[in-house]
Amino acid sequence: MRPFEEKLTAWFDGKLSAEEARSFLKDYPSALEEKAEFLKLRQLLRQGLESRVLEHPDFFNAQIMAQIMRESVQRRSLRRGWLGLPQIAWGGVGALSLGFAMFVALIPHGDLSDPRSGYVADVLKTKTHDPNVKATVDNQKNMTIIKVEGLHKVPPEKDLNH
Amino acid sequence: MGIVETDGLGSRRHCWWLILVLITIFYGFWALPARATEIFWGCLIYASDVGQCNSLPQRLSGYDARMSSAFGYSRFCLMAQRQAPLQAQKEAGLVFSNDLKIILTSLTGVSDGKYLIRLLLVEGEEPVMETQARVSRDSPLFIRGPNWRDGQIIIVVMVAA
Repeated sequence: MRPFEEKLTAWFDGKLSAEEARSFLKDYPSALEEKAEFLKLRQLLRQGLESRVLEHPDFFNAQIMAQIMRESVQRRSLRRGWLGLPQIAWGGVGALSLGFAMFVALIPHGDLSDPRSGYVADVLKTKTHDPNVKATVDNQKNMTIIKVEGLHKVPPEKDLNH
Repeated sequence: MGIVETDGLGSRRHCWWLILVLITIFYGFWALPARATEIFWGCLIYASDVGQCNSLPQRLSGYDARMSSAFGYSRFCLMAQRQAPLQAQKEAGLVFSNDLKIILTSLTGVSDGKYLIRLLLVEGEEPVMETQARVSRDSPLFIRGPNWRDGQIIIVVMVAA
């Protein structure tokens, strides 16, 4: 608050000494008009803000209490439905279970340090159509070879690049 | 008021189930393309001790030493590589140098993500060898083929991603 406003308020409230009031009015002659307006406004406000007596106070109070009860029940049911501790806990357990199940189902397993650890190539049966051709299976670690013997030698001039 | 509350909680429970189902469907669809994009891949390798090149395809990286030990050759030269999309109930064939073919005649998914495959090796027009194998994805199956020049032809096939 500025010094003028402080002094004006103090003057309105009659807290200035006679000497100070005189000096103030000398410096700010318009303060008299302001005081008149202020008094008029206060009068109007007092007239407009008179307390009204309710016709049915019990009914009014009952309505307010009912409204308060409704709101508190709604808040409680919302907390119970979505945000309650058991619901959040069960939601967390469900999310973790779902994540674990998806990890087991979708992520390939095995020794991650060896990309070939998941190697599976089991030859169950081989059959050659030419009796002169033989096929044998050589199972090695992470490597299965079918050795086909008796095939015609491919001509050296044959281009295998295409 | 009680009835309204009960209905509200019931519909929220349905909401939870709906969310769980949607998440499952979402991840299910996410996983499906991984299986759908599998291919039948193969390559032709010339193994020798005198070859000038020494290159294996990316899919066989890490197999150099094992191949040397298994086939008895020191140099492996990639001559050609082919791939064919895998389609249910359809054969997938890889043709090398016009007259060497390897045909995947059947593919069946078995438990634990493995496949049961039937392969037919054809030389010219003549079927040479038929084999049935259980393989996992990205596990190459080596076929030691005919001799060529100073070495040997090796055919490698796999169900790849």
